[in-house]
Amino acid sequence: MIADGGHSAAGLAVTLVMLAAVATLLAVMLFVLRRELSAAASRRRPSQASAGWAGIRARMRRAARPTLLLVPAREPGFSKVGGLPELPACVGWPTGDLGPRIFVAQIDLAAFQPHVQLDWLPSEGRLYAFFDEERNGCPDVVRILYALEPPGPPAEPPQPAPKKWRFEERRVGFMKFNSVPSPDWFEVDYATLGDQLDDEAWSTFEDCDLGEEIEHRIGGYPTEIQGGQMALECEYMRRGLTRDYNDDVPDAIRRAAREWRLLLQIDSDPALNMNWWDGGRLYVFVRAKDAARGDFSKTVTITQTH
Amino acid sequence: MAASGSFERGGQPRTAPDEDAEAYEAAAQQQRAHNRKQQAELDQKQSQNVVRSKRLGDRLFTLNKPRGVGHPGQLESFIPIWGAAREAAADGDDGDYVGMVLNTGKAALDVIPMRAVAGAASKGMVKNSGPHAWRTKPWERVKGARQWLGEKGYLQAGDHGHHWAIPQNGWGKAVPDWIKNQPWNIKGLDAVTHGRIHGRYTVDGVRLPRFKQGERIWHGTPNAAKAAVVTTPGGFARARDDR
Repeated sequence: MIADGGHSAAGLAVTLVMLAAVATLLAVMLFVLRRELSAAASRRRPSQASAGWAGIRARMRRAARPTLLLVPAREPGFSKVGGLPELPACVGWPTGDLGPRIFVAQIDLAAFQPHVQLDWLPSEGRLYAFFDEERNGCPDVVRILYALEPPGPPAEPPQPAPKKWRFEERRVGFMKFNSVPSPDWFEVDYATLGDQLDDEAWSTFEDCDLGEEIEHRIGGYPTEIQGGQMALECEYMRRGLTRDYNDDVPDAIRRAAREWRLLLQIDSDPALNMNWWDGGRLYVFVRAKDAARGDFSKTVTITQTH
Repeated sequence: MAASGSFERGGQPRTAPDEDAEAYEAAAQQQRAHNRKQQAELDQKQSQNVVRSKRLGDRLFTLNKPRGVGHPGQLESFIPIWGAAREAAADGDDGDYVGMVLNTGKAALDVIPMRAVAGAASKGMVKNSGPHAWRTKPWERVKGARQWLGEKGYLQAGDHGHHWAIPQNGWGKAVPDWIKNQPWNIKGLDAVTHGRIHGRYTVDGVRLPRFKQGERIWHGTPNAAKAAVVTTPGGFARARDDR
């Protein structure tokens, strides 16, 4: 009986303590909720948001560049995505860390340069892109070969690639569009912008509306999957550095980053059995001055996936 | 030789007086009084606890009030924080102090998903308007999911949004965007961690292997989901056990 009384007292005490703990937790949660709501409201102040968007739109318009989408060819030529590379006789199959690299695409620069001048690219020659999964995170995860010699017949790899890296072939042609950078290209912090998107000033971009098709492209701006300013990332990677988003970007890197151009963007393409991790993309960049003189040995490739 | 005992006394009882009889009787009276008092207290306590009583023949059947807070029901045990807290209190009543400590810990763990829910509620838990595509074109006026997640603070600058439960490609292709491109399915990761979930990754010249299955689950799963996985089956098993 005395023991029972002790249990009841202990039980009551524990109950009170637990109820107090629950009440405290609820109070903390309400406090957090109120603070978040107030922060969200302050982020959406119309004047600040609309001013931000207006500035970004103006910069996007000014920065528009031509881009070429790689679309199925009406008259098949040399350029293609997937399949086997038509390497010149003097060019060997490039190797990666664990074996031959995977062939991704080949592009004939002369096929589009007369009509669409990408002034930072040579007007002739052929590009070959090879991928090495082992090098993901390195600038040379995609290696670009540039050749002026005539192409040879389709070459078999020195050893067969695993099934997931054997891509179907699609001969491609080029469609020119204007490409505008995404807000990520300008390092926009979306959290500081609100919903104030008006119709005015967006009409100039309507010609660019391409829908949701696969996006293999040359030139222009990348269609990013994730955030991040890719030109800055390229400069960091080329210098062997990793960007810390908490630190300011030095002016020297910011200036040097303006030189980077999107050489090739390769999308995941189910029809070709091409899937970069989880529906990802390869973005190959080159410095304009390097490309102009035919030096594609210092490209930087960024990979992104979902 | 002379005879002795009752035979000697002719079967008559010995007449020597009992010197302790009085003290013995007093002690017995005192004990009986103590017992009566104790019984009265017990009766009073029981009468307070009696919810219902019924006399059948010469016997009284009573239904007493339950003692303490009692254990939560099966569904109640799933209520975050409350279910585990009540379980802990009931364990304390039962004298199961190990259970009390474990359930208190579980109540504390419940705070993690609840905090995530509170945070998400304040930001908007779902994207319920506009396109649900992961990205919209830069020139489109409407926001895609990636931009929306950044605007609401789910993804910070430099974060990669990882589709942890339903992938964007593969079997996830059959799942509509309005389901999979929502905050609950996206975990913000740095590029290296995200890269290592999907494959090998090299950083600063150091080649890092792909995460093992357990590491992929650990790094790729939001904390709230991890805590829910720990606490929910625990609450279910405990509730079943208590029944």
